[in-house]
Amino acid sequence: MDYVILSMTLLAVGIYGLVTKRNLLKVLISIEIIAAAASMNFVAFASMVGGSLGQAFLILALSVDTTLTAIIIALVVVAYRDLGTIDIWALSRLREVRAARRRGKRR
Amino acid sequence: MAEYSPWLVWLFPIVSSLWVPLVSKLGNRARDGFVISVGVFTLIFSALLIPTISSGGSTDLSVKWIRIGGTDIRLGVFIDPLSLLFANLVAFVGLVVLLYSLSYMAHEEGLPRYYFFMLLFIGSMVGLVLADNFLQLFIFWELVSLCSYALVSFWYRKPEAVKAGMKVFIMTKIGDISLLAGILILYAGLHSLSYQQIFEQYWKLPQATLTAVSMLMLFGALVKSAQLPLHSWLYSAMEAPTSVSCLLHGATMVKAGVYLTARTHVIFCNVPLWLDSLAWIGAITAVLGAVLALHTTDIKGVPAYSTVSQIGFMMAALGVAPSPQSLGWFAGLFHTISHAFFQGLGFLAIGSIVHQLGTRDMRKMGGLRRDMPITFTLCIIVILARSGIPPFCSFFSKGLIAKSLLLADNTPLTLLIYAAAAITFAYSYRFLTITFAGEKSSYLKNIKVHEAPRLMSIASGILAAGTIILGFLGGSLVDFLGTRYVFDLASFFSLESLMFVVTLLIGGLPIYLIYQRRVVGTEDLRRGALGVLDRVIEENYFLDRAYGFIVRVLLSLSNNLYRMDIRVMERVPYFVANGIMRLSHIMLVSFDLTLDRVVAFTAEAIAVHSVKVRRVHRGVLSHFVLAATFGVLLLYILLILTT
Amino acid sequence: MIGLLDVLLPTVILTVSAMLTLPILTVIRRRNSHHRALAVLWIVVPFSAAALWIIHLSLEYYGSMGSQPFVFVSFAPGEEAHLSSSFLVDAVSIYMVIVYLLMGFASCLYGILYIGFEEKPSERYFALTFMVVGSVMAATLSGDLLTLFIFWEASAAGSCFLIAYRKRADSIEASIKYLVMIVIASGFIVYGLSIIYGLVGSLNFWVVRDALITAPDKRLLLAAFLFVAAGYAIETAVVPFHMWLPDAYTAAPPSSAAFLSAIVDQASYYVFMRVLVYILTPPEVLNWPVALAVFSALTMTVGNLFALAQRDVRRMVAYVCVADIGYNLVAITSVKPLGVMGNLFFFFVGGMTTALAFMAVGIVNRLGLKTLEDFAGVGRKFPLTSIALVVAALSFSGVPPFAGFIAKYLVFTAAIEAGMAWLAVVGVLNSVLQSAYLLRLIHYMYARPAGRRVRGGEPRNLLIPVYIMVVAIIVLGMYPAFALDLINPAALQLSLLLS
Repeated sequence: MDYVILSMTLLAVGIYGLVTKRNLLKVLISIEIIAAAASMNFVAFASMVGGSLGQAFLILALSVDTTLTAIIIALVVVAYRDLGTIDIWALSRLREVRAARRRGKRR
Repeated sequence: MAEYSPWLVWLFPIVSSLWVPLVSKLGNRARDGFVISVGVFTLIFSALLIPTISSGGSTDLSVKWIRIGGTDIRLGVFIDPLSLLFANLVAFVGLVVLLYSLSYMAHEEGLPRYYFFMLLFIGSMVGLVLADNFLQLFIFWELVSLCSYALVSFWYRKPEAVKAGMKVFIMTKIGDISLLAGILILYAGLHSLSYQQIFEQYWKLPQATLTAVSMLMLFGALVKSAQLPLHSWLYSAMEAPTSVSCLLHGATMVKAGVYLTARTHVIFCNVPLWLDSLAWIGAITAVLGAVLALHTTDIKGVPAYSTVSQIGFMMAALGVAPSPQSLGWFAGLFHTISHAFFQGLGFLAIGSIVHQLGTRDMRKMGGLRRDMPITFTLCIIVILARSGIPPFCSFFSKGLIAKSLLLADNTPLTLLIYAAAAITFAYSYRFLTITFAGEKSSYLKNIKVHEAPRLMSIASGILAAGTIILGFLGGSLVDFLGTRYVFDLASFFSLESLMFVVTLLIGGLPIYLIYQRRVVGTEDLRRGALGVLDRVIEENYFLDRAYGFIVRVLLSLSNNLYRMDIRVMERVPYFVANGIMRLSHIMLVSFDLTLDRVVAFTAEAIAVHSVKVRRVHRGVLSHFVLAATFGVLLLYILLILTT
Repeated sequence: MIGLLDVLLPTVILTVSAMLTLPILTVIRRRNSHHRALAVLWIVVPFSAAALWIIHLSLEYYGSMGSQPFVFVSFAPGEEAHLSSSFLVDAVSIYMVIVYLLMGFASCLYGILYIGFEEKPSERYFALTFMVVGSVMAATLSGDLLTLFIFWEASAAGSCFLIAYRKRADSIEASIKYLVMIVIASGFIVYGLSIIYGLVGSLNFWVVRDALITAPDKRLLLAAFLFVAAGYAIETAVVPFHMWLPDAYTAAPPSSAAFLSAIVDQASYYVFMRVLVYILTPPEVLNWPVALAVFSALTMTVGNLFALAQRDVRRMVAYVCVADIGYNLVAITSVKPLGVMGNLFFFFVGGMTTALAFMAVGIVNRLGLKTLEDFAGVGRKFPLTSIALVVAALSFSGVPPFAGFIAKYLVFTAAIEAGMAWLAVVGVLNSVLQSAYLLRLIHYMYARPAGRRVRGGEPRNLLIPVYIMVVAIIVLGMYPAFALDLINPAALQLSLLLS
């Protein structure tokens, strides 16, 4: 039960981070916290049931998670290199700025 | 050939419509010939069907179309006197209109499109009346809407035409949706959509369900037939070429509502509410529509509102009929046919005028009788036929409607219908004096007016002949439709008919005084109490404003909601922060300082945040997550509530 | 007898050819002549190979269906089957796989003609489309929640690249948002699955289903349902989890938007349906349909209202996608064979229609025309494209000769059968709204004078995939039996399952 409470807390922390942080790296960390919460919950329940499927699933889920995180990191790098920012609000404002700049160039 | 004609009669025009663009490449003459021959063949196919049934009988041919769940939905043809009557009417009026279009539309652009939609229009209307189940009916019902949308906005470069087309489509769509809802409920109750099964089993439905279905279907039919309060689309549809208006009024679009009412009469005559509302809406529309026609200055507005009013007559007659074998039902259908003839003729005649003058404003016209003698004669026939002067068809059909109302012993309805008949004569007469009598207006002096081309006159002549002959065919029609009534010509020349004609004269008298003798100026009439009335009618009983208001509300709602979607997301952290700050304030007093520090810190973090958020426009990741969190909460609450 | 190879081979074929795409397209590019024809041929070959195998699979399945409607294929046959990764072949999954193949082919064709394989990293784009189709197929055929999860996440990762392909600021941002939402969703799903695993001790569909019917602890079950449903709702973009979708579909290249709406979107509805209807079916275990019905009404209304507020045409179509999800949910909540029929037909038709709309809008977008005002007069300059767009619009708003009508009809009938007449009313009213804003688009295209920027001719070859869709929509509208015959067994199976 303790593990479940801990994983719930971690989930809440992760979501809180996602809502409030604007730095992409911090967003990434929040995501990792959510993933860790889920995995930990799985470990807790799997140990209750016993058997090997839980472990297999956990490894697969972790690898899927890692893959997705790797892709996000790649995108963050691209964002930083090409657009020069990793601030999510700046990014969504950048759309307009970039579009304006591109229009300027075309002229 | 005859054994395939139940299928060919509607498939043939629909399939041929697809060939129109190809045939058009061969040249104009080839296209014209092709279109006319399709019209002729459609008429032949539908006429071939008449001998296949005896009076009052029906046949049902169908093939499997799709299988949904456990029930088959079939695609079929339901042949009985009612459907044949309409099929022949559509094919006949369609052919006349196609003939007329050859000359009327000859110099327009985009004719392949025009003929494509015309043939599709005719084909789908025939399909509608011959359908053997409600789903098929609905499909053609929508197709008819679609075609009228395309044809009303045929001149797509005119913004009004496009707007009118959209208005037609959306307003009738409201009715369609109601019809669809009725059909779905019927299906849920009986697990069948075929007419025959439903006609046999409708009593299995509880009365409340039957009432709901009947009212939903009635609403659908009333919208399609342009009855109050959703009649204004019919006037907007006047932006269409006049030939299209003729088809739309005479046989296709608005008649679909009458057909549906007559078709479902056998079920819904057991619902008193249905009968009453049908009769009352019909009678009231008959009067109010006639008043609108009396008021309009648009030459096409007269027949447009006239149709609204005349269909009111039909609906009233159908509404007082206790069963499909009674007189009212027959009278309504008989008037449908005679209306197709005289109103069709009215449009064709007016079409020639608009074609020549290039305006639709009646105030600019006058003294046309010398320049257009044939059109003038046709218009006189229209007026006589429409008002119900013997021996024209409408004398008989309106007489029967009056008689059925008298039989039903419903005095207020009878009075309404008599009043509507009087106003009918009044507006027809007014139209005639303004347009043809008097001196030439200054507008007309500047343009040269010819008589209409011969082909247009021929097409109009066919319909004119129809208005005279039709009345005398009533007897055989009674037999064909299997009504329990003895149609006796002599019975029409009685005291009641005399009264009817006198009513007409009473209606005509003020018009004579105002427009012919000019006892009072029209401007003087606009003062005082009449002025208020004038304004009410001018504004179309304020209905258009009401609809405009609804549309505006919807638009601003969607815009505001969309903006709110962004704004709420920005505000939420702010509110949360505010709440936490307040809370922290209380905590500062009561609890120890460290706890407060933590809370205040979080609050500050969020508050700082929300200020920044508000500057951003859309689609920030945090909002997504926030919305998703709310979604989870909502799901949780709903699940807790329901389990 | 259906073996493991029968099930997996289509996916393997597509994955292998995805890897081969990189060298092969490079070789083709070096050649001097017949570039485009060869590239198109390379699209055709893997798809037809996969199609052949799917035909083989479905023949095999329908040949032996009488004895066994649900065929499980496991990595570890025998006693341990419920503990191992497995695949499930039934009428629903076979139908869906066929749908993916058809739509995948059409949208890949559009992609190769739109992106232009001369463009440098385009071989990666095509490789990814193959990969996504393959993994979506495997997800559809999977027989336990684990396999489903893995293949599904794989397709999500692939689609993220498709969104970010052009590496513009907005597309990178949109794909980051998409991916973050996906990761949150997968976190939720793993969370929910962990509880289910704790309750049941297996993740096999049928084992889970049987165990849940007799589950002792309702509260835990509720928590599990909450997380799984929320997770898949994020991926399906149910309102209020929908916000990534309009951004992603507007920022992606039009060909990706068409591809994603045709394949990945429909697959996500399928997953939603499979998990809810087939695994969590008995509403007496957990009364989820009412809660879902509220969400579906919300989704339809919000989608349509927001579409009404849009000026950007592509964003408008994206919101139509959101509204479509609402219609699908209507059918899902009915939990009736008729609902499944409605759903499956709607997947196909909805996917085709949205893909068609994105394709047609994409052709106009190439000139930089984006907003409604930009679309003024397009009807005359691009007649064929505009007609295709009109067909899509009419099919969306459920006008009869087009397939959208049958789809909506089925869905609403299902809702009424399930006793949720109010939901059908909401849906039907939404249709009016839908026809209003779609007519506004038509109005702009045909009634307004063209701006100066509307110029040039229509790219003929791009119209080929567009018109494949148009013809399919019309044919399915006239004669839906083509699809319904395939769907009927699925409906029968559900009624078997429910009884």
